[in-house]
Amino acid sequence: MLTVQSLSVEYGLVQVLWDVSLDVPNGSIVCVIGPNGSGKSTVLKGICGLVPSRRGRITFDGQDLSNVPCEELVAMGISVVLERRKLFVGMTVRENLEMGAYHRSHRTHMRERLAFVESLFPLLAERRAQLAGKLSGGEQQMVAIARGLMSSPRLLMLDEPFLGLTPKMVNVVASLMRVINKSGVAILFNEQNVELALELSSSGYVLEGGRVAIAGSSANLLRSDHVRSIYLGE
Amino acid sequence: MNLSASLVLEQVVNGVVTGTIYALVGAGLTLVYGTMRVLNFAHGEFFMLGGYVMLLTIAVIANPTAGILVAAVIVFCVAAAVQRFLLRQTHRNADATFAPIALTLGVSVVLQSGALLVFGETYQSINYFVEGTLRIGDFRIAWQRILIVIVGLGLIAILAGFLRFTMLGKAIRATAQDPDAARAVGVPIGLVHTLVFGISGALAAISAALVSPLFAVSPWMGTTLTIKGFIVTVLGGLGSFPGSIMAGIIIGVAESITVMLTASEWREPFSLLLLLFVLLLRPQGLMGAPWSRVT
Amino acid sequence: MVTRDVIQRAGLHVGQGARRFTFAVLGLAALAAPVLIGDTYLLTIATQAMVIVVFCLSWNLAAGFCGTKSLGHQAFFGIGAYVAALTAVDYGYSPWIGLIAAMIVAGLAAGLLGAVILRLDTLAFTAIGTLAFAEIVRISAANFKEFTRGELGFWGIPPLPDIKLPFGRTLNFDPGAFVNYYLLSVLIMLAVYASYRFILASRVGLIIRAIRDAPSAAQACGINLARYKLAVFIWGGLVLGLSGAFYAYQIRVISPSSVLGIDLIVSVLAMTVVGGIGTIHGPIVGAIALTALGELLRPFGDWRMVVDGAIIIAAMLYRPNGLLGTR
Repeated sequence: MLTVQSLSVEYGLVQVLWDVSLDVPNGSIVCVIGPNGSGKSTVLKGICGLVPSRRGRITFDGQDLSNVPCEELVAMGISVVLERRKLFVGMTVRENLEMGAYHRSHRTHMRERLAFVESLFPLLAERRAQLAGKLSGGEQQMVAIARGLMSSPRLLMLDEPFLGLTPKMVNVVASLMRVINKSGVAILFNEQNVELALELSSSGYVLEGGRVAIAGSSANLLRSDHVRSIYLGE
Repeated sequence: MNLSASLVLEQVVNGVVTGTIYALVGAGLTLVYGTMRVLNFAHGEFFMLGGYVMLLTIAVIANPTAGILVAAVIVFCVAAAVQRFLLRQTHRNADATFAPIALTLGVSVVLQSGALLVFGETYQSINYFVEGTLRIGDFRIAWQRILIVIVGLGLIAILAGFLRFTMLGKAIRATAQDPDAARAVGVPIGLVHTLVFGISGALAAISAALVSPLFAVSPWMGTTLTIKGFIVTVLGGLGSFPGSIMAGIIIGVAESITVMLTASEWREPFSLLLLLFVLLLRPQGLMGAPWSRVT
Repeated sequence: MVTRDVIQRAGLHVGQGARRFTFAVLGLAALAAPVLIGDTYLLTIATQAMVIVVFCLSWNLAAGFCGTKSLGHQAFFGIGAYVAALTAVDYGYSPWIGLIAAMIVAGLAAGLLGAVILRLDTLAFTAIGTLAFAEIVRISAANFKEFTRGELGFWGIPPLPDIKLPFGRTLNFDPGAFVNYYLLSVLIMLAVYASYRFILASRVGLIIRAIRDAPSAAQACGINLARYKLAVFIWGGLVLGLSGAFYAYQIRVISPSSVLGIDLIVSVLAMTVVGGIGTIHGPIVGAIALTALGELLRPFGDWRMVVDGAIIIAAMLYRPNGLLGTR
């Protein structure tokens, strides 16, 4: 579905990613893991075009994304939830969700989408009129993911979805991701907690120093010596 | 000094009149800063352009409403063009934080000297839209001034409604609150930038058109207004639309009261001191977001 | 053969050294030119240019390196000018003392303003705060007419007194002594430039450059940024106070709009940004280029300003980082 070939990203004079390639098959959950500063977030931002300069080839269902600006990705079926949620703090929960369906083609089904999303996240129905900035971290993450779903995406990209969440919320978000995936949405996410990420995903990419160190099915990665010794402390 | 009640009231109302103009000018600047993080040094020149378009239109069609509309539309287009073809290019290089400011300064110089070339060093004014004064006892105020407040506040209300309730308005607010998130949900922020810049120009033009009977139209009428606009914007809180409205009115009234109590030459320093005082206590302005979110 | 080997082995260093030497020679030649040509109009413009260069250098160190986006530096220039005028005319001190007094008062003003404003150095706060300060100074100068003679201007400022040299010669600074005024302005500019390079090469300069390139990283290193920014701000005040005083004794009439107007800082900003803000020599290049341009365009009358503005726009479109900045 999504194919990234040799993505390299520079922030001004500093290169952050070197030749990163990854593949997200239809309907799968793929994770990008690695230590802090390895470039995990940059991979997602690079795919979306939220970086100053990038090189490489990115295709989505055969369409070349290299020159497509970020704001046009939603219409193509790609939704990205950025790190630290990046909600519109001055707007209510309901308005944030509405913004998720901003594109004209999505607005026609606004009411149904809102109903669907609120069924997945019952909390949001209660907090509809509250300012997004006043919610707790976990609640904000809910809103962010819900907002991402409002455009009926086929690929959902989540940048550090578990950052700053309580263990209970982590479980909630993880099972939500499984539910969303079962309904046919492919998910690409990055995460620092290796065990959590590999248990949730079907395949993964380990990023170290801006390069892909190893990759493969999550099951294999969990068993690999590299992952076990460096990340699982065994 | 005879401080009769009606005199004080007159001064306060006059302050609200100038304050409404300041609010309109400041609101445009704050919207631009909020969505683009740019201080538009040519804003006063958009005001000046509005004044001249009004002047020219009135000479042809003696209808003030037509004049105001034409001024708004033309300056909207000029401002939008400036953003789309000039300002946007400097934005690409995120490194150069001063480039947009220098560019708007260049635009300001070109517009002002251009006006000087075309219209000369003249001061021109036009007739009042509405003649006569409202009198209630000893209190009196020209209807023209009341008109300014009504039209100005009406415009502000429309704009506020637009921002609050329409999808495009929400897109503008979203862009101001988080440009990356806005792009991620599909807001066409290039278009938003151009639109906001155009709107700010239109607001300035309408303000100029409204005051053209009271103050003469000249190539320099915009210079002090840019500074005044910045002061209103910072006092209200950069990027805060309601803040700029509030700040505009406050400064207008404060200036009026200063003139009443001392001489008119201290009018400016007073509002400046007021600004500094507020900034010391509350650096983010009256309604600005907390510091972590203001750059 | 031996020499060629040595030169080849020195490699890059010789290239750099040769380049610096060439620029230095060209620079000195350019500085000497107005004296050799002898045209009084050229000398006057050149003197003005020296003052502007000093202004741009001081602003660049604060805004380009420390990130202090000040729109109020003209206050220090004006304060210097007025102190110089007042000490000489109202208090009868020698203008040479006036120069020093101007420096001190302007420096103090910079210290006071900086201490208050620099706690929170963001675009809006600093820019508008310093602008407000400068405007308050300007309007006060216009209003306190008993001291400053108001908007009509402070006339009758004496020129600098003669300096008695050995062998019975005197260096006079009468109104007609264009060459001597020019040479003095060059001396001041070179002294300021030397202190500017000295600061940049020192430990302070290292920190300032860290602030320019990565402010959050610099802060994370535990450096008290505010203190260094304040130091640079005060240096700017001292330097501009001196310039303002020189201007007062040279032109011998000042007014709030001529020494405290916003157009001063606007020109300085445009020149520095066009030359390359945050670069070492960008301000000089920008100042000379735009001043020369202004003079070349003089025959065009009112078109001059239009072309001026258009050039600034063009510069920002094609070289947003300035002539000497990165592409």
